[in-house]
Amino acid sequence: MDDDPPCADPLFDRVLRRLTQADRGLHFAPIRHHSPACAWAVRQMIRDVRPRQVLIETPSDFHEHIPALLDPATRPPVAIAALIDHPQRPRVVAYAPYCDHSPEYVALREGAAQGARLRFIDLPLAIRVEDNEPPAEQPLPLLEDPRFDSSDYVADLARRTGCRDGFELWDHLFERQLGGRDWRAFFEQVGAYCTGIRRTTGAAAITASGWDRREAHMRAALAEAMKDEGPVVVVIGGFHLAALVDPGAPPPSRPGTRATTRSYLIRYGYAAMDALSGYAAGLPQPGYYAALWQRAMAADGVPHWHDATLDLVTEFAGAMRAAGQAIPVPTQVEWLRLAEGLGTLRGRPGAFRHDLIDAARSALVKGEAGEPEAWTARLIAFLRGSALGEVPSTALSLPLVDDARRRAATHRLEIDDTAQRRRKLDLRRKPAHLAASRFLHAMAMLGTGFARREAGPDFVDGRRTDLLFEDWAYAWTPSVDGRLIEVSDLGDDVPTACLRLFERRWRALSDDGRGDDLDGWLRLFAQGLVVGLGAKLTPFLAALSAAIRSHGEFAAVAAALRRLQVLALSRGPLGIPPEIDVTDLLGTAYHRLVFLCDTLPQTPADLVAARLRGLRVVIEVLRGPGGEALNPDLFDDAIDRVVDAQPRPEILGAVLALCVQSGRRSDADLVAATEGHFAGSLASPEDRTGVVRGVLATAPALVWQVEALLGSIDRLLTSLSEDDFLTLLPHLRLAFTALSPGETDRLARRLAELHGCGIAALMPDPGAAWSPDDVRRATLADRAVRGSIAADGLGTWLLGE
Amino acid sequence: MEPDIQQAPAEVRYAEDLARLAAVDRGPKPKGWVLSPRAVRRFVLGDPDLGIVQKFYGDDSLVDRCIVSLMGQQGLMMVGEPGTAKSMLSELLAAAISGDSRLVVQGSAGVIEDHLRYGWNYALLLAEGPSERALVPSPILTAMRAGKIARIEELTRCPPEVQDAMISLLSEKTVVIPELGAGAEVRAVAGFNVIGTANLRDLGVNEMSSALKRRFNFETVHPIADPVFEKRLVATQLRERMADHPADVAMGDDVLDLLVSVFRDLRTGRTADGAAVDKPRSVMSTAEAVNVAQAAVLEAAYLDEGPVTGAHVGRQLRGVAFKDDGDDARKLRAYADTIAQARAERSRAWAAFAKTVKAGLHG
Repeated sequence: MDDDPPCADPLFDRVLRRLTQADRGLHFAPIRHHSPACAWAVRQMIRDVRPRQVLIETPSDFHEHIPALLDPATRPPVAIAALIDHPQRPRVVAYAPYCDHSPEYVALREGAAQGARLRFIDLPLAIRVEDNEPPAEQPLPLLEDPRFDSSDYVADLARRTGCRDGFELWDHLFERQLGGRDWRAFFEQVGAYCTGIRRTTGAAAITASGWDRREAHMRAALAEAMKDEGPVVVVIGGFHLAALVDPGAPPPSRPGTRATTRSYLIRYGYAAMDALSGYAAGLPQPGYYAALWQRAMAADGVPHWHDATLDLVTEFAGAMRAAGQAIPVPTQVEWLRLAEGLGTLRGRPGAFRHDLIDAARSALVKGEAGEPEAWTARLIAFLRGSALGEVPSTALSLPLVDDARRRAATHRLEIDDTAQRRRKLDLRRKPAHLAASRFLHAMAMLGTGFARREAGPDFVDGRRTDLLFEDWAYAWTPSVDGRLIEVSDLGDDVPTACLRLFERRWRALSDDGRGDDLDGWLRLFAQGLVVGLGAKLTPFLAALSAAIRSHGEFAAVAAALRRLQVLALSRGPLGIPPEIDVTDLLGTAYHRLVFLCDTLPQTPADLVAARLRGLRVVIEVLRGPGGEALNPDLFDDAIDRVVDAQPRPEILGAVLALCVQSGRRSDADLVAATEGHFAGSLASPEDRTGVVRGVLATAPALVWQVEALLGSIDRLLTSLSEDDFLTLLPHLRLAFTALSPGETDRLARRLAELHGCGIAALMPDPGAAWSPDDVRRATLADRAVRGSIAADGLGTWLLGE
Repeated sequence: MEPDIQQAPAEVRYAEDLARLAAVDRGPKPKGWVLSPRAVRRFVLGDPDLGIVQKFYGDDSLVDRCIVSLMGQQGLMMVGEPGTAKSMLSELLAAAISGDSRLVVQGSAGVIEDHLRYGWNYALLLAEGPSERALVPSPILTAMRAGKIARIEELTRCPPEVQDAMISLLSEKTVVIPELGAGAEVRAVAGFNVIGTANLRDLGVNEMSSALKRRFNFETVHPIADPVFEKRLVATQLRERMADHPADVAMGDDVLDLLVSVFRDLRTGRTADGAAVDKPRSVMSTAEAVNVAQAAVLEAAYLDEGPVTGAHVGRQLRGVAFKDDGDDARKLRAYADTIAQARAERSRAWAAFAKTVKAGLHG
């Protein structure tokens, strides 16, 4: 590129000849956003040209923030965040982030130092949103570099220079000129590059993205400015250069807009800036470019590339050592050597970003590198940087941030510094504590990282809901601001934001084809209650009820039944309002379960365990608090039908046991089924022990309540041959695991009585740590040895038999 | 080129390229290098202006990293799945850097330390006693003396004690020969380095010790990520291989698409539209895809005398790629039953492919 003169192509020729119109006092600075090399050239240009006016490509409705941006208390990275509300569309959030090395920020500061008039000349945001509906649920990029990475021109140039993409190409061609003196030549090259991009972009794409309308607006603003005193410096994204070099078109007439914009100067972070680079805005990994910028500023010229690389290598190694991933010094040396070797091989003045990352891959990874590769990921996170900016205390903050801070103060949470604090909340007795809990849960739901529940009842997962107190740890760190800003498209206050987020997740559940994920629906619903959405959840009940009514799996509906029972019982802390009738939902789930009982006879093997658990859940809910509202006869009738439908043994055992308990079947039926399966001609040991497993899973008490049953099982077990017993042992063990420790103990006592021996005789030696498998193998070995001794005729001699 | 040699070394095959590059090479050369690093890069990645063909595809920055690695003290270890052209890349690098890619040790369980250091011509040893004449240097020792690149293929197949011998070779860059008298040693001349290739995942390999790992820079060679590019590559290589055959038939675009999709689906375990596929144990590399393509073209040209169809690909896939593994055969059938069958409705090539694969697997 360096050697190429401006080519004879008419477009290039026209643009490059008008880049500087000294006779009119007009100077263009085509830039790429967040590029230190561009920022440097802008700085040199303004110092040389001494303009009276500086025009910048930023929405003109951000004009009010210029004084705050220039305030000495402002320390980038900061951003102007805009909330654009339109009566017919979801809210749009837009950010214009500025760091120390942003050309626009440098233009403002240098222009102010020259006493120039500073103006933002881009189309107001409200009109932009009216013109082009932005994609939902992602920020609108304000500082975009259209097609810097996707255009054919860039792809072709990258291929010829041996660069892998537009980012590497940009560094290779332009960032190498950071700190250079000749800003005119630099802007000529950037101008030519961007005109190349422009020329391979179709007119249709320009119209569809609304760039032409923005350019018309900027042209008009430029013509307006030219009436005033010059010289005039225009700092614009290079892509728009070709459309602006001929100012003077009349201001276009515009229809009004129904959208309204509110904007705020906020502290911003490199992490968020880097995320925005995913939307074609600026260069990625701003921490890296900030380091280069600081070097250029310190040197007041070309940065010392070797020192810059050396510093990055040692700083990264230091950060990794602190994180417990020390990089040995020889490896750091090799990394540095490789990085600079790659830079030289690729014809650069030093190791650039891609060289540094490539070299890390060679030097730090020992063994096969997966994708994504851990060291590369760590280095990229390091190069991204974590700096957070400062804004003057007089700057207005975003409504959602304000609201959250106000609420935190109302709940007597201390947020004046970033220290971590703890708070214990008495949920059931103190309404003020309950309200604070709601707020903390809401902040957690919004993903702000403000608060973490360390102990207490978990109503969402239904664990330990009997606990009275909640313990929280909280801290208002700068990243809480950041996260709140990111979710400010959800609303201006915390409850509204939670409701919107709830709606979004609720919709996602049905859109993702997870409509049958009852557990997911109910967890989300419980979360909505915990954060205090209360009556606002009423509109969602119909969908939940419909999901239950159409669900096809017994086990899942049974689990839902249990969750609903927990919700109904936790009324106090959950604050379920009268509008939400959980009991009604409970009834819906119960009726669905009764209906689904008819699917039990066709239970496939992989669902046996889940459905046995489901059956036990139903019984527990029916007998538990609130169960009296459900009619048990419906369920009893349904499972009575299952008994006659010849289900698989486990299910048969389970339902038969329940029927015995409800008095619909006799003890004798159960004993007959048990014996029939056990002693019958079934080949599979699973089927033989199935009935016992079913009984133990749903109604273990029957084993000691029904005398005949225990006797029968005992008799069957003792009558087994040794081989048979060992075959059945794993399955029997599976069946008996359904018992609780108390139940096991009780059963053991009954067996001891039956055999007329003390319980002690049945207890294992407490000193022996035998695994079940050990016992099995020891038994087998014992038998083999005994068999062998007997076969050798040594029985009498050795065993005394 | 000797007419009856199947595969000449890279410096012979590409002698013209090397000569052309050497003629214009003005860049600074590291000591002992025949070409400058930039010329080495151009040799491997091609240079249309000089008429140098691209020889390694898919990852330009990998080639840069390898070249820069070899300028330093560390050895270069290339790892990755079989069939990702690791050996070819190491051969190209050795040919360009040293003008000699023949100093190679083939790693196997039978390799002993002598293969890395030196052995003896026992007849001479008995007749004359230990002498320089009786010494049989290993390729590594030769490379050290001449300041060239030595290559070790499949290092992880060597027994651990042999790998241990590599550690001192790489750190001291010296071989002591006590038999030739006190102080007899060979110190490596500038330009010496080692390129290893290894497979870290195969069964039956010996894991590398961390001491040995520290002496290498590792580069993972991945299969080609871009389907369009892979397709182009298969087409190019197929054309090259078929250039010498009198009978040649074209492989239609639809059949080529099918071939590349089948290989990509089975290699990654996922189709382009996200359906999960059981990954076979067989190597589904681009090189194997070219083998299958060539076999399919040969079958169509010589046996059927007609165009290449999905059926040819199906038949050859079984023989060339799926070598005799019952489990893999089942996975291929499942693939034919579901993925290929679904595509068969829209494409004749897929229909023929699905039918052949299923028919073949019943027998």
